[in-house]
Amino acid sequence: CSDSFLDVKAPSVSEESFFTTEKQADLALTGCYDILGWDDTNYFPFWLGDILGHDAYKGGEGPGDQPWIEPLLNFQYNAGNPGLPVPFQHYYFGVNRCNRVIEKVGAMTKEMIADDKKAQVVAEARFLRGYYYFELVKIFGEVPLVDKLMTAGNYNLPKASFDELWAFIEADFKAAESVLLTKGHQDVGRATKGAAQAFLCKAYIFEKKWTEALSKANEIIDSGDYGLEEHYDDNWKLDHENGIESVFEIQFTPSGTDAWGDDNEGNEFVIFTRSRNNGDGWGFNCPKQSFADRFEEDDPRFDATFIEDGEVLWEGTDDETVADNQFSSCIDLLMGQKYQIPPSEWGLQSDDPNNWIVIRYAEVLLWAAEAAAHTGGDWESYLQQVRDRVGLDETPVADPLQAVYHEREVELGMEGQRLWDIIRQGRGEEILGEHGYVEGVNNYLPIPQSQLNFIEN
Amino acid sequence: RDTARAGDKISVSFRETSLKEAFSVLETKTTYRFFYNHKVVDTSRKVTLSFSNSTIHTVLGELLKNTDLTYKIKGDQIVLKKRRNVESSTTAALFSTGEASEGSPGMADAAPESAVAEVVPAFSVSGNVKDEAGQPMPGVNVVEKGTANGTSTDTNGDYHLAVQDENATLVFTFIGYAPQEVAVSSRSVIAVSMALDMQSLQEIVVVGYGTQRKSDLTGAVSSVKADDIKKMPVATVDQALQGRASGVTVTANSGSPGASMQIRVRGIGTINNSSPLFVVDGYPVDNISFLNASDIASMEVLKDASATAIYGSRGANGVILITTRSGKKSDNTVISFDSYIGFSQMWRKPGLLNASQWGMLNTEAQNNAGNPIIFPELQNYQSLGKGTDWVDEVTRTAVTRNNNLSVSGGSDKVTYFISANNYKQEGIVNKTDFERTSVRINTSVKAKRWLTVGENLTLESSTRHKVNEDDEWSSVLIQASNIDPVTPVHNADGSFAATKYMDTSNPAAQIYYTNAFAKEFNVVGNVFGEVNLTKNLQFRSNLGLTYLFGKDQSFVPVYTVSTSQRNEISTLQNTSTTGTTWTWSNYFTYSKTFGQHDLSLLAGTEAYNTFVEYFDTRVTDLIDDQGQFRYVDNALNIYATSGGQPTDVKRISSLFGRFTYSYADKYLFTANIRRDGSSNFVAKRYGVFPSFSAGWQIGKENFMTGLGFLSSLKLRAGWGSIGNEKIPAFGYQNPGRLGQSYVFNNQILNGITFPNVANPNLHWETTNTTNIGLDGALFNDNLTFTAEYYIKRTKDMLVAIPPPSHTGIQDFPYQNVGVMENRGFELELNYASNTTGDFGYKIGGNFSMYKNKVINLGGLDQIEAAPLRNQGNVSVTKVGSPVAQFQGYKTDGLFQTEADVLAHVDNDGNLLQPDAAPGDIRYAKGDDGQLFFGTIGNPLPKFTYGFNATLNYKAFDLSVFFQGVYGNDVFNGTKVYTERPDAAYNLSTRMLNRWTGAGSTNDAHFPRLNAADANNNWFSDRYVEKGSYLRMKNIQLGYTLPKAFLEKIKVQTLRFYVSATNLFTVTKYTGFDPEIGTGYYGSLDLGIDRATYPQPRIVTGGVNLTF
Repeated sequence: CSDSFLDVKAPSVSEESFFTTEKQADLALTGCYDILGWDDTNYFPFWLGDILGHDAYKGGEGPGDQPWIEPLLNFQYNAGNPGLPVPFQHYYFGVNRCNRVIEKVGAMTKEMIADDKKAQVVAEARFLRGYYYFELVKIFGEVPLVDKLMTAGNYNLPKASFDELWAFIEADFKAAESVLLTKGHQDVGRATKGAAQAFLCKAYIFEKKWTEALSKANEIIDSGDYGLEEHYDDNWKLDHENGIESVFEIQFTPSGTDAWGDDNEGNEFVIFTRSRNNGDGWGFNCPKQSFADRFEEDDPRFDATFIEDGEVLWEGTDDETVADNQFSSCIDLLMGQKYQIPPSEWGLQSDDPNNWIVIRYAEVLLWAAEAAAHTGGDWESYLQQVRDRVGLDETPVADPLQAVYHEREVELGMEGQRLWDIIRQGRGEEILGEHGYVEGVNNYLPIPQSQLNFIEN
Repeated sequence: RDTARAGDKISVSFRETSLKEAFSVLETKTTYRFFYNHKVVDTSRKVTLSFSNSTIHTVLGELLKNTDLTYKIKGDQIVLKKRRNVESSTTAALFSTGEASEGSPGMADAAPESAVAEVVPAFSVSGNVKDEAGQPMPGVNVVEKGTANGTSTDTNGDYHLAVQDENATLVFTFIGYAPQEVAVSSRSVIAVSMALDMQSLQEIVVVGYGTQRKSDLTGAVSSVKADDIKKMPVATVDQALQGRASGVTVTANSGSPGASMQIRVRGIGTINNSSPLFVVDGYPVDNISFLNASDIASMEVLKDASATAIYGSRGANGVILITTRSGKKSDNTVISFDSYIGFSQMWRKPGLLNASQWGMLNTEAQNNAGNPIIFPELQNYQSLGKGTDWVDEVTRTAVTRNNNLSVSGGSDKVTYFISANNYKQEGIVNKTDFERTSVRINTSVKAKRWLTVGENLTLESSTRHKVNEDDEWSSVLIQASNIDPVTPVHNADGSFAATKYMDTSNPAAQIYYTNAFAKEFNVVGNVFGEVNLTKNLQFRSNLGLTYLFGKDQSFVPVYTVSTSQRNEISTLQNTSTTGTTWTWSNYFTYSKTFGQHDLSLLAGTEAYNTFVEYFDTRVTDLIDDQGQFRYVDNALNIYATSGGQPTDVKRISSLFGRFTYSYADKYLFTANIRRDGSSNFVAKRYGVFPSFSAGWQIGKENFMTGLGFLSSLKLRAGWGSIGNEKIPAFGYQNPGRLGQSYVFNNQILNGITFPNVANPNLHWETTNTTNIGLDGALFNDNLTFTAEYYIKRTKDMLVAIPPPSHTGIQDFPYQNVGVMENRGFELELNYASNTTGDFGYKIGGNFSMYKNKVINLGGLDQIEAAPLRNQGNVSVTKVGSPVAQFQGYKTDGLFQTEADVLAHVDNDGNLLQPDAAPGDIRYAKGDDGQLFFGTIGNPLPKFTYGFNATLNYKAFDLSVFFQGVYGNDVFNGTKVYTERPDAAYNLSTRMLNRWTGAGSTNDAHFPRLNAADANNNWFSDRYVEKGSYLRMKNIQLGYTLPKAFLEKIKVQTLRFYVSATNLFTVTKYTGFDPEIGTGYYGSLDLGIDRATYPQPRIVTGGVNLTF
């Protein structure tokens, strides 16, 4: 037979011949966003933030349910922990997809794609790459820095230093900031200029670059694109999604299929965190009484944050439900309130409609307050905006930093922030020492054992 | 019946012509064809003779005068052979064993010169002779032992012979069949069944693109008897292969009807696809699920490189050659009907706690954890009684039925075999079954003197009903093992009950609401033409085609059992598969004998093409949510249509050749070469794969003649190199994958990713095999043996290596990296008794062992695989070790006291198990003072074996067949929940032995119960068990009705039998079944029991009828 007999046409498009039209650029860009909505990547920081932050119990069926978290609760960090590979891998999937768009779309000619469109696509990809690296550095610390597509074979890399990583993250968000459109001028869900600025601000906060953080926060505040919801708990109502307070949120909408987990575009962690006795919840992430006790009396955010056992939910509607938190792993009989929506709004099983809010304007104000507290600025005015919304007077905490810390824990409670706040604030041993936290040891989760062979020290 | 031709007068003259040439001349002048075994028949004798207008009998009589040869005419075939009594070399003997008894006119022509041996027949014997398939055999020689007195059977297989007295012994012989001696013992009717003589030197075996005498084979080949395959009441032929041939390991992946089998020829050759190639009637196919076991005539397993090399890359993991039945030229059309019915059950039930036992242990676990009392009724466990036996609720006694009808026959020009079959097997798990209906038409037409054309065609359709059988979280058997025995199946109102103690589904309800089937329709056939270009040169063209149509459907109605077991919207999923695969082979065969030299040459080309397309449709909200109308058109919400799997496309083009040479039938040599090109590769697309092998018939050497007990002895040695390219296509590109969606403006937008990385340098994986074999026959061929030793080394192994996470590459790109080695030893032994009187028996056995070692993983130290219930990977493949070992902690008894816990420290004095308490497992320390974590078990057996025995006594026949594996471990994944110390699910009765206080037990299998346990459920040797087993795979007792009776009702044979499959199993394994194949996660997921659907015990009764 002649050689041409063996020249078989592939039944699917391949990377080698793709990236020739705007439509293809868009498809690849959507693939970059896709990882944001992967449930198991998302609930990882969420659980670690609240549960390892010891604001909440693990919950679920019992110790044998998601047993990989058990040793982490005591800060027994072992590189072989089976829970580690998934987020480590998935964020890098995101990095890889972004690298491909940045590289391949970046190389498209004028005939293939208009210049402004190309700039927009690349900027969105850089925003997302910045986001994925931010999460990697937040969770795992120093990790390999991959800034281009890798070819088959030579894969091993050294760990990059924090300096390199933060510089890279900053550069991505800065590049995105300079190109992206402001909120309201494009599709809901896409990265915006404000979101890029907020992440840049968040990076500065993590880097303790207080001056830069404050000025970036002020840029967002001064833009006038954002404000606070009138009612605190409106933030988690479906009809307020992507509302005035939203800076960046991960978009979910039910696929309407009976598909599970990542096979749908709905949100899975809602069913994870619903009471085992209400609906079909799995009962994870049950708040601790010790966390509830840190709320000021009359702070309306308490009700918006917790579901108490026996509380009547959605009162006066067809969805009226008596909360039942009486299951054995819900030790203090508290469940989280924020992401719980009336049963009539539930999707099928793991296909709920709630978006996951990553940054809301209140946090930008709190960053400004924190940065100002560090730099001797007017931290109180930022803080008070947050308190005014919920009808509270000036903070009862005298020390500026402590005041900001307290405000963060109640304003952002059960939003997956606690552990990371404690660690970056250097308060790990102070707050979590009783659970085994050791400064310098537990600041980051270990890079998974299976990866150590590939990463040169 | 030969008169017409025998009457044709022949005129011919020979002058110093060898017999061989004389026969050739006669072949050209008549329609006769000569058949003889040139090893036995010496045709070098020169004759000078002249005939005019003579009959064939006259000519042959003269040609063979004063030789030790005799002949027999069957149709237009003249079969030459050695006369048994050489000393009485008279032409009279010749005729008495030839056609003379039928009064052929030739007899008068060649009047005997001397009288038949001086005997006075005193006793008359008659009877019928059948072949291995129960068909009457014409032309079988029947000779009174020690005399020249004999006859042969007529077209109906009947014979009549007058013998000296009632103590005479009859000898039945036929080429290719084992001779049988039967003592007359005063009987006047003696029926005989001839068996194919598998060991005899005349035996012809099917090899790649042709046949070879077994005696000339230089490669490693095992044969499997069609009879043995037919005895098993199985859905697919591969199931019946289990334990039948050395070097072939067949493991059921599941006992579910219609489930696939894992077949490995000589170990695990490669980490990627290790499945052998099947060649059915010359047509290479990748699976044989379409075959009806009754249609099979013979099976050969080609094991080493010198045997498989001719198939090149497609045969890298061994080749199984299957020949289906064909018609025989006969005046009598043979009609056979076979039918059986069987009943299957679980051969054993796992011991699970009853309700009051579970209540007791659950209460103990809660108390030990200090948990509040949530379910008071469990505290009061004595009153709970036995409760529900969930395994009983999801299993049943199931029925298997098989009906098979075949018609075969033939004339001078056409032979045919037509069969129809219906097989239906219900599974022992409720609602599982498999049904196949197939028809086969095999015909061969001698269109011209130089041309034979033919076809083999199967039309097959099958339907398989499945429930959730594989999922490690929610398969029916897992749910039945997990759910508490306190909850009833149904509530008082008849609805399905839900458990309140755990999140396990009601498995009876799960089955009830499952409506899933997989249908397949296969058209598999080949047509061939064979042209005799010259006497020595033949051309054959064979085109094989497969059309595959498949449809899988799953429908889930709306239902609610509990909040966690419910379906809110009816769903219908259809997956359709359509595919076309063809292979076209064209080759020339040339063979020539000169003097003591025999040589043959084969040269040909082959092209292979496959294209299979999948289409997946999922819709919801059917107009009738209980699913009366299970068609896509009836869905209110048509939301998803997608290709569930990538389309399969592949082509291979090949050139191949073979050279075989033998000298004096003692020194044998074979060389193969094949050049394959595969569409899977671009850079190094072609691979050239040679093999060489040699054989030495030591038994034929003069220096061996003194060893009278030794009938034959052959030493073989070979080396060969074979390529493998069985990986997903287009690895040289990075194909896109859609469905990477995200939500913008509350709308789902599709996205794409390229999850792999292109590897344009992919090339052939190569396996080099060195094989040494010894074949022998002893004691007049009663005892035969074959022993093989091999070293099989695979390099440039195509391994899908998990890339480092930081690359962001999602799929595992294939690379040519690994090196793996298998060394093995195989032995086959068979003994067949001489049939004396009414009694005869045969016993046989095979034994295989191999050692696997991974030499190199391309820079990786290890590859982990096979996660279990989110708790990490069970399997690890390390350089220097065998593949797919189990990994985990090692247990070292139980902590009896707090002091024990405190004493378990590392080298720095830190507690190794700070969370442990007395009654918890102590894990052993490694050399570094930390807890040992490493290899804890090996799923590969030390050896596998099978043995069988057949006995015949008068009209009764009995056969037994055992099969077993020894020395392997099984990771009993079911224990991860049935022996978990938190008693969150139902437990094995073994847990009644749990630790209850210092000194109660030190067995690490039975730690204390503790609802908050976080210490005892780590992957450890606690879950590793011995997987050895010995199974009585089949026992069958048959009775054949007497001929005299059958003649009255115009029936040829009528046999009834009863049979049992998997009647008993000897094993220490505690799970459902020790036979665990390849799991959920592919080729490195070996021997991990996730509540594998067990093999059923089947008791059958059947009938074989021929008329």
